[in-house]
Amino acid sequence: MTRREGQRSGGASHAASPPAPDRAPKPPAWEELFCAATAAQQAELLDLARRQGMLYGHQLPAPANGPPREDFHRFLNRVLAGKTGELPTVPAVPLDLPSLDVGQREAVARALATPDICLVKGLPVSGKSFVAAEIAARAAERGERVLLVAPRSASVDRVLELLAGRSSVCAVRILGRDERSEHLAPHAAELVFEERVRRMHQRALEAASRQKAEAEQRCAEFAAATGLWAPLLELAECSGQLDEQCQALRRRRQSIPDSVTAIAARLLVSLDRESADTARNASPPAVGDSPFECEILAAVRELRHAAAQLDRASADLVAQIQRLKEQLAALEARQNGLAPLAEAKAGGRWWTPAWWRATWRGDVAAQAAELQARAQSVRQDLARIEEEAARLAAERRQTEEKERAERTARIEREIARRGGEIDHEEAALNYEHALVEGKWRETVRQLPASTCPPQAATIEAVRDAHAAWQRSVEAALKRRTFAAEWTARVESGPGFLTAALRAHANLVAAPSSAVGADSYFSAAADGGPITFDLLLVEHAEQLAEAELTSLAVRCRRWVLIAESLHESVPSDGAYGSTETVGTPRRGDGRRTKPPVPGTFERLWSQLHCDPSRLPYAWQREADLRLCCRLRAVSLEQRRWIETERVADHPDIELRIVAPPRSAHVAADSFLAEVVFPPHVSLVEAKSYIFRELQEVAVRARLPQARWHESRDRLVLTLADGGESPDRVSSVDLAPGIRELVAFSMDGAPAGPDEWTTRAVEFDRAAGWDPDRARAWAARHLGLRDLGRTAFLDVPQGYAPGLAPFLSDVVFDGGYRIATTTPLQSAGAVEFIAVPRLPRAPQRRHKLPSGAGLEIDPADPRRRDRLPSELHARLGEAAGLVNFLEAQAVVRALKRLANEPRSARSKTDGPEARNGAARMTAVGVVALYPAQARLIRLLLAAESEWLASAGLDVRVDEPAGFHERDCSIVLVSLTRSHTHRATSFGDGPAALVRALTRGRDRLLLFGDPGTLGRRSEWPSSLDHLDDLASNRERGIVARLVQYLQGGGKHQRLFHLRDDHPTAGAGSGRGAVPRGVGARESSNA
Amino acid sequence: MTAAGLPLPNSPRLAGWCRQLLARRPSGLWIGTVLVRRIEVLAKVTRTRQVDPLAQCILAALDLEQTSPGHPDSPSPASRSGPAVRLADLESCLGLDSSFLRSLIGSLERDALVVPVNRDDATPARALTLLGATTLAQGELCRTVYERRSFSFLERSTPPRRLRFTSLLGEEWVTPIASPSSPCEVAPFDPCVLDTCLQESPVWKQRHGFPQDVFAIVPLEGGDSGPPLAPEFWRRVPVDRPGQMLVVLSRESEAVHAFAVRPQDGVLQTAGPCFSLGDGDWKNMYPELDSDPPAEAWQRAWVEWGQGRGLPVAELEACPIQRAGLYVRAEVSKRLMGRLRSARSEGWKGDNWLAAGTGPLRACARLEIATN
Repeated sequence: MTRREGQRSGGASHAASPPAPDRAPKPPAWEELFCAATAAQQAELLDLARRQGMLYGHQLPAPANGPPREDFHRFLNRVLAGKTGELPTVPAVPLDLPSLDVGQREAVARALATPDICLVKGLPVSGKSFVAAEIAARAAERGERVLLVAPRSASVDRVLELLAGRSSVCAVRILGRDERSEHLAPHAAELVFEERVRRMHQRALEAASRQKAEAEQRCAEFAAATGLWAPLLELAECSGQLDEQCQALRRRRQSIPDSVTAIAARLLVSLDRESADTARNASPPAVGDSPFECEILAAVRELRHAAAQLDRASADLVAQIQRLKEQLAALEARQNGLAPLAEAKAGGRWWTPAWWRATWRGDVAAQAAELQARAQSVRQDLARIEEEAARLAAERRQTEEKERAERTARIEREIARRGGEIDHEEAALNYEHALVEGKWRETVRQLPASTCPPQAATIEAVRDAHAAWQRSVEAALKRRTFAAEWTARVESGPGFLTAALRAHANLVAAPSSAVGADSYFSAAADGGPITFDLLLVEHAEQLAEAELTSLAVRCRRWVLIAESLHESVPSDGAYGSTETVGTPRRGDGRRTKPPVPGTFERLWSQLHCDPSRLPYAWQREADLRLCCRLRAVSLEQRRWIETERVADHPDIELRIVAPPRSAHVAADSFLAEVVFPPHVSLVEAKSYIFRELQEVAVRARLPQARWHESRDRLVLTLADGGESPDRVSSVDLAPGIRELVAFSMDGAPAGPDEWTTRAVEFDRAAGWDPDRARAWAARHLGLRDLGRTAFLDVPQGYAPGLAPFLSDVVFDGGYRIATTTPLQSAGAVEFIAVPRLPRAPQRRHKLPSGAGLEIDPADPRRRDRLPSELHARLGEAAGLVNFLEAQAVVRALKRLANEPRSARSKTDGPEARNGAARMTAVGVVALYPAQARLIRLLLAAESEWLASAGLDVRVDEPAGFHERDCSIVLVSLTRSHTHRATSFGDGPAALVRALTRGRDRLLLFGDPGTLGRRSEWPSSLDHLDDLASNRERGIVARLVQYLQGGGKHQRLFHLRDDHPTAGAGSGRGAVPRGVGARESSNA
Repeated sequence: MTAAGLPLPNSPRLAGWCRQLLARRPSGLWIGTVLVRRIEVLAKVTRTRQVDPLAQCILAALDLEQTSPGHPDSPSPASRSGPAVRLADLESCLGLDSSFLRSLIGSLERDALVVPVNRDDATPARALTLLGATTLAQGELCRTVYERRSFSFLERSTPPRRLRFTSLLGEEWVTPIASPSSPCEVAPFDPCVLDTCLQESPVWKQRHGFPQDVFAIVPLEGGDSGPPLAPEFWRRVPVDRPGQMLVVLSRESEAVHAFAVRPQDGVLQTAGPCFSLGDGDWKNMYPELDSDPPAEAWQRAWVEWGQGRGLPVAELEACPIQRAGLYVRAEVSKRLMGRLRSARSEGWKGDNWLAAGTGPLRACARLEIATN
């Protein structure tokens, strides 16, 4: 059972149910005790349970203080106390999110995988909102309920905008105390709880009434069809009968030939019998009296009579032939007897008896001749009679043929006759069938369209269709009932939708001030508090611990997303003091007070595994000895350094911090540095350190260690690879483990930063698996990634030329930019100096003093420096104004308006995508409200012209650009003092926000002299504390380097002159008299 | 069980408790310590809850669309496998917002009332499960969940050992007989006892207050299969919390009712009995309640009572004791009566109760003192 289910169940007998208030507290339930126990206690309890089969009350740990829902409080205290060793590493499942970069994917995966907390920190414009939106969407897909909170409404609305169209997210926007839905962006206003309920109710009403009407109509149609089924059944019956008759006819037709043939056969048989009877002088058999029978009998009888006569004649002839053959045989016998006698007589062979017998007989020769003649005569007669017999036989066959033909012809005629009779009958039936079919079609046509008509005009088909119709009627009635109930429910009011949305909204978004005070999801709402599976906080760095706790107690897991305005955050204890003995960063010329970190920062410092904070450093000292710093050493500690020589390597020096034993200093001695002689290479030194101290002294550049797994190795990446492979050397630390160190090109390091550890590799072949490698890294590198943090440092959406500049100036190289991205030399960054800088670069090395163009409108002595009509309209706007700079901004906008649209920017900002015409979103950021107001006043007359030129211009101070970006941003730095170092705006955060809002182009307006003076001022300034002052100074100093021509990406930077006449092509926006003269003189 | 019983109260407090129960017209009163075993286990429970109206409408709409004769996937009335309703159809039927509907259906899916179905046209679709259809018909969702539940058993402290389930009210008045600092040897609890209770008839369960919705106990090791998914090992661990409770037992007609004493301040909880035993039950569990302690026991109680008030043992032992109903009558000499009067004890006021017996449960009777 999930915790949420448990809370819903609320049974009185449930083990975790809360105790009655007037009673002594019940003993805490097992689940509560177990969850509150430490990992060691849990293991011990489970082991005991395995052995005993159960646990006994006295074996349970003492219950923790506080109610059970204080999970976050306990967790927070535990983590902030540094007890993170018990936290198991969270393995994140890689996600398939091609729209996000690697870091963002990792952040989303970790946020989804964490069982308790996940911290995501990112530089501005590194895609934090995208990550938040993806986390919310994925969690919602998993069926989790998400509470999205941010100190500012704009952050919440930005995430909601990114989630628009994600069907898995049912989002609700809760209004803050001072918010009104009409002031929200349309996408957020639609999600306001009341508005959402109203819209849903409206849609449901429409759908319900539509459904009801359709259901009523369908029922009416079905009702009208009730009386059609009986006629249909009758018609089907009739049709069936007709079909049967047709079938019978067809059968009869098929049987005609056989029947007629049979009759004919029967008649032949009777005729045969008649013939036989006639032969026996018996009476002839009876025959049928149908015309067919009579005719066929007569014909056959006649033919047979003729045949009988022929048979008789033939018989006579056969008898004659027989006789003649006998005569002929007798003659031939006599001839045969006389032939030898005749031969002997004729031959004169008197010595033979034959001659003597012939002699005795007489004239044998004559006798033989007579016999020959007689035989010849008989033969002739025989031939004649046989010929006659053959003729008779042929005639007899002809008679038989004739009889057969006659019989066949008569049969066929009879068949045809009978077929004709059936044709008549069939035609009558068909006519009747057509009538029935017509009636059928007419009746079927009257059935409602939604009814499935009978498939055929049969009783079964009608019955089937009727059954289907009855089911349809039942369904229609059911639907009508449902529609009526649904309509009644919807018409009863939106209350049920309110309750349902409260129960089923899986993303509740609210500014932090609204959570707990709303009437739907707060604890005071009817039905008890709504709890959440996931708390998602944007800009968590701005929330105090109490605020975070009050939010977190309602959620099971917590994902806190914070913005980092600088490249690294000083830690308050992760790795000791932050002061270093190495080369200080540019702009950090003095010691600063340690900052007071917020809750997020404190959690971050405890949970984040940041290799760039490892204390190790390598540097060549003045005498070229190689120094390995193992621990950070403060300036105070440096006084207590004692040096020792290694016994077996006297040329290696150990520097040990040995504080004096006193009440004030409780620290123990520690080895701080190891110094190697000049001839020792870094590889040898690193090997020595690992061999002797079991520490891997790495200098990492990445703020987050990343593990990469391949088939043959595991790689712990600690720095981006920008160098060519031949500059990387490998240090063998242990079998199968290599440290890859990046060197400078010539082999000699240019500075300590050049000696960076790119990665540590573990060979799988040597037996290293992920768990073992991670354990090794935790032991020897001090890097234990708990899997609960992610750092976003890849800029998103910037034009290629802008990101490197911002990375350098704003974040001192904090952005991680893909080295493959081509740097465009086109001026993505322009600086418009007001007043103008000297043209020759060498003259810019020393910037002039400030021009003193800033005006405090509240100062009555300076009123004359601003046109009176503008001064009056500035009203109560706070801060300073710089009139000339404001005019320069206006002129720059006019210049932009005159540029071809395709040349303005590569992309159009999100604000400008909606219009039919593609507008270029242009933001004008002024560091002071008064300056923003002044620019707005100057632009008032130009707004229509600018809009017609395709510029969508928004003028505001930095706070107005929270969660808002533009294609082109113009930043009016405003400050221009004659001699004093000044701060810029509210602080570095506002300055960073102003500088990072543009995606394609950045136009800066400022007084170079004032900037130069600010870059040289080392102390705190105006309202800024030490840290803020230093950060601002760092940004300004790096900008000044570009002004002086020495920027790291100087070719991306373009110093532009401001011409007062520029942009005057519009013929509008005339510069007030006197002001132009002043500007000219300044320029 | 080797735990010692809880200390008995002094006479005034005992008198106060007994007086409170006299309004119930008991036929007998006892005081003493009962042993309780509270067994917390992971149980499989049948949970029934009403489906909210909108969810009911969604189920009805799904059923309607699914069983509609015109529906392409229309199932046979007996089968629920295969048919599916497109979310778009459902959306247009109800006029609800897409994301809201998905979220709502998601919750129905988690309750296994609705199941996603892959249609041929790859559009997202859902179908009603058999459980969903049943829920729609009944209007309530009945499903199996895992819950940690606590079951109380009375244990007879003296041989023969007996365990009996009881529906114990006021578990908070149970004093653990052992703690981490002073562990105590306890007899192991036999899980079969709990299984036996589960096998009992519904009538038995109703009579004894055994939860009817519990139908199985999840064993510590294996032996359990879903649904729902088998829980983790640590959730299955049974916990036995042996404890004892000071109670006053009131025998009323054929039943015995126990009233707990709050250990913090010794207040008797008379609002209702913490457990009750029927006729056969209490005779089996506590047979000593069926018979009055012997006269010697009352004599000893009387002597102890008198000793507490500084009366001479010899004179106390000489007093004849008569026992009747809720009363015990002691006939004392005039001299002893005089001493009682001079001591101005409550004995003289006639509001004294004696607890007689040697076991964990002792019979209580109101003491009447008269001169012979």
